[in-house]
Amino acid sequence: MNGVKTAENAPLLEVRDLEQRFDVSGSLIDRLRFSGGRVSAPRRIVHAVNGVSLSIRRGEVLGIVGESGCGKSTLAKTIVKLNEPTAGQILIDGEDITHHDFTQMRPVRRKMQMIFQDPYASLNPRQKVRDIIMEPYLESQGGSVPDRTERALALLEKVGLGTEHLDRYPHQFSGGQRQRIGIARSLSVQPDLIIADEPVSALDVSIQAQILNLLMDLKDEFGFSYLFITHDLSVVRHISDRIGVMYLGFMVETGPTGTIFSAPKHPYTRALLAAAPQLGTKLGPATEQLGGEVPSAIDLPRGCPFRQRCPLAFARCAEERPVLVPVGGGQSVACHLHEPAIAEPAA
Amino acid sequence: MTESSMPRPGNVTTPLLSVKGLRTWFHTFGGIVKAVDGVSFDVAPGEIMGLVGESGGGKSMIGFSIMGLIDPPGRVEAGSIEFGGRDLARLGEDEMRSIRGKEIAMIFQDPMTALNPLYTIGNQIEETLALHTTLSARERREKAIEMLHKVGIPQPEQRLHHYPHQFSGGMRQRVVIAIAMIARPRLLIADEPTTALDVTIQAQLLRLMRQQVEESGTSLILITHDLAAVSQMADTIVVLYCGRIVERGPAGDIIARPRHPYTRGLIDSIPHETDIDGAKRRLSQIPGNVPDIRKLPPGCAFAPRCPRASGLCRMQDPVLSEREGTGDGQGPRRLHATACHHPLTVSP
Amino acid sequence: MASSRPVISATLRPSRLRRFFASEFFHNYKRNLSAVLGSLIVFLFLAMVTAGPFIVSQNPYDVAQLDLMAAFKPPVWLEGGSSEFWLGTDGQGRDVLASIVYGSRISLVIGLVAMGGACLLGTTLGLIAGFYGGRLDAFIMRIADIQLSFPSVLTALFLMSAFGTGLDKVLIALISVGWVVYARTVRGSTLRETQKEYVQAARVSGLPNRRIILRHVLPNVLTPLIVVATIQVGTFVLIEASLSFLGVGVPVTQPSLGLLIKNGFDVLFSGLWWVSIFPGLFIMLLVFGINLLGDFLRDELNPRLK
Repeated sequence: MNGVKTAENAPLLEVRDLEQRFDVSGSLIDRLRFSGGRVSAPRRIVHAVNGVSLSIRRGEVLGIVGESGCGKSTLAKTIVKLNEPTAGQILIDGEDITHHDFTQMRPVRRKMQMIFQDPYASLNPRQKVRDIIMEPYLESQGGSVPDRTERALALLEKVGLGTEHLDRYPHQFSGGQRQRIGIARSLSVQPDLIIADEPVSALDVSIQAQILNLLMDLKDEFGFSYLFITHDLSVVRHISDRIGVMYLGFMVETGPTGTIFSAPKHPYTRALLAAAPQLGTKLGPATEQLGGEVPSAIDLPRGCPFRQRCPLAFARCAEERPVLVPVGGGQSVACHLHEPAIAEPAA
Repeated sequence: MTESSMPRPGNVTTPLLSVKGLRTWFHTFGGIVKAVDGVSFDVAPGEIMGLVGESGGGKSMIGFSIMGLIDPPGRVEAGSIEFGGRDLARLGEDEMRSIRGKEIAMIFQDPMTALNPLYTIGNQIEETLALHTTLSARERREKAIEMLHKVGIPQPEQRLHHYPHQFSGGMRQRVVIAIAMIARPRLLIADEPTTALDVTIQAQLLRLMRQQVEESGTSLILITHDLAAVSQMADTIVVLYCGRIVERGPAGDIIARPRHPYTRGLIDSIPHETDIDGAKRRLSQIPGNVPDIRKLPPGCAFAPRCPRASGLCRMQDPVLSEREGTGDGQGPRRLHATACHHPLTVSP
Repeated sequence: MASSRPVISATLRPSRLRRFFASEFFHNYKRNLSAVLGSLIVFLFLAMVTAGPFIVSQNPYDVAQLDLMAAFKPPVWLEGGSSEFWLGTDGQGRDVLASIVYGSRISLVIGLVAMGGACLLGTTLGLIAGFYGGRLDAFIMRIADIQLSFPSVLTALFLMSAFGTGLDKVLIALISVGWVVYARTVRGSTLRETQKEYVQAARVSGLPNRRIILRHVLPNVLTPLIVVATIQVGTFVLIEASLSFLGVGVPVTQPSLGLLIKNGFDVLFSGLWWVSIFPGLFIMLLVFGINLLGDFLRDELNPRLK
């Protein structure tokens, strides 16, 4: 089970039925409720990720798109084991890391790094650039490394920063430059997989393009894979080979980028695409505009998570939760409207 | 409700708002921050104007200057802000207070800071009415319910008694729009009103805002970094860079035929549909970073990042010069102006 | 590309001192009268306790230097005063000024050492509580709450009566009174900092918790402590004075300012006021100076007030 290399075409990252729940009920005293003459202490559980499966091959970019609160960031953090997964499996290179402890995770960290959203909060303001970008490397090598300055300089050059920046502190940089430093940090161990959590959404448009280009150039050079989390449809479209659409912690549709954008099947995907602003086209009358808002992740709706906002919902949607089924062309949809006729449910 | 149908832009009318040579500077320890440095534009009655730029462009400070909300160390140094025959830049705080909320309303990015968490939203809507109208308590309540209904809040009678934290982000912004629009202001300034919200909610709110200003003939200044959102809403677009206007003109014209290399760069930076076919293309990017506004280079502030910059650009500041718009030549105000020594000619 | 950014011309970096004098902090300091006054007072006190013993004419605790004939001399400007004893003498013929110089030294050392100890203990507990959370957090913070519900002099008094008197006991009492404020401040900042992405990045890099705390969290929670620590030195000087005045503080052989007041208190109403009033004035001046400085630092270092 430990570090078994499987065949070349096996996925680099595989996630099976991942669940992530958080207990937000607080202490017993906070939980106490008094109603109808009875005292109870109900727990409040946030269902952040609900049975998500995905896989990424070497050199592939998987984009995860969804609105705030859809669990995409939690998914990323659970995969890098910042959270302890509630259920399901996470496999890197065939190695099951779901229940790895701190020491077991150390070699895995070299394969998997993360780029964060906020260029201001993701760098320690009291550390010099050289210490920031070398931290993962030094941590995985341990002890002293003679060529550390040389390595740090090489990393800076790779992300397009001048060598004179080595001994500066984060506050001396702009948002885009800080994000480059964050990228250099993730590169330092030469990982196979980079998990990027909204890496460009805090940046100005012109800087966004620079960073996206940099990410693509680095991928071409080093051949790693990205799990790219974003809410921005134009960004996910530009960078991804395949896309997964999340809603309320569920994966509702996956497929190749072209197919998702040209032939979206799930009503939510369609609404999302319709709502995205298009440059130069006047805001038309609402076509597939969604009513209502995302329901609470504490009390998940029965049946389909999207049914309360879905213009096409029918009786069955309230009773039975649709599962992700392939509809051909590498596309899968979790919607009762798109289930093949043969897939009659047993229950 | 009085029905007023203000003339749509394009007609030659006296502008509702006329900003001329506005300079808003901040005197900080590290030097003078020229947040707004010589900005001029007109807003016609009923017009939707988009104010676009990246962070540090000075777009929010223009909104604050118009509202008279610049706090020390900031100061409106020069220029005039003519609104309804008065120069807002010269008005005292008392006079400004009577204009704020009644004639000019403002919407901010974070709806939570605009609402007081300790009062019900009914209270807050009625407060605005009590301040600016002579309606009775009953009439105010009816008006508040009607307004909440108009901005698409279901069951307004009950929601009136709820507190801001009981609303979701999108709903809160609807309440803020209701409060802003209830006194039927002549000008609404919306500063990044949808930036904090999800795309699906964003589209709902932009539609709502446009419908509201169209119904009451209000002019709208939409301040945002989102060029795509602005292009969907605005009649005219003003593009800012480092506190100055680099380009100004009819929205369609600016998007289809940008003249300033910065505008062009902004448009090209957005991943387009057309990029996707076949292999992933590199996005065309604007090199470098936005300069420190306290240490702007001499000449054109964009020159260090500009592919067309010449020696002239690094020495002499270009002035905003008007040329006829190639699109809909509807009167003098619809001219397309660019501050560039080497503007782009009509490109494919 | 990015190197075209003209923010700082890197090659020529001025010295640390030069940069400090050119900083906004120093600029604001210069223009803040009470900050200048406060730091001047504190500086003079520090100068006095370091250089003073070499300047004043006698060591008031060297019995050989004392002259009982010179007892209860009034200050120099009163009738019967001697230019040898500017602020007069006490019942044993000790120069009041010399006593104050030696007493200030003990008071300040107690204040500083106790502050250091309280800061170390409180910061450690606050980091642990904030970083690990859960039961450990609840346990530490409940103790802090209980501690806070007693008046600090009362707590110290209770501890002193349990352990007995002595310089070390005073320090223990002050530290057990003073750690709470650090623990609470640090815990709050730690909770805030651990939410930030740089701590998550350190986790993803595989740093063990101990190193995350020391390298990432600790340096970022220290700034607010500067203010707390400054003001606490003043508070400790006062608490120690109260304890000594009540007779449970420092031993007579190492008299602090508080003990000087107590010594003079017995004769205060027989018209010999200078023996205790002058030490009292010096305590007031010292605490006043420290608080002025603390208030300035609070305004400068708190980003929310800017």
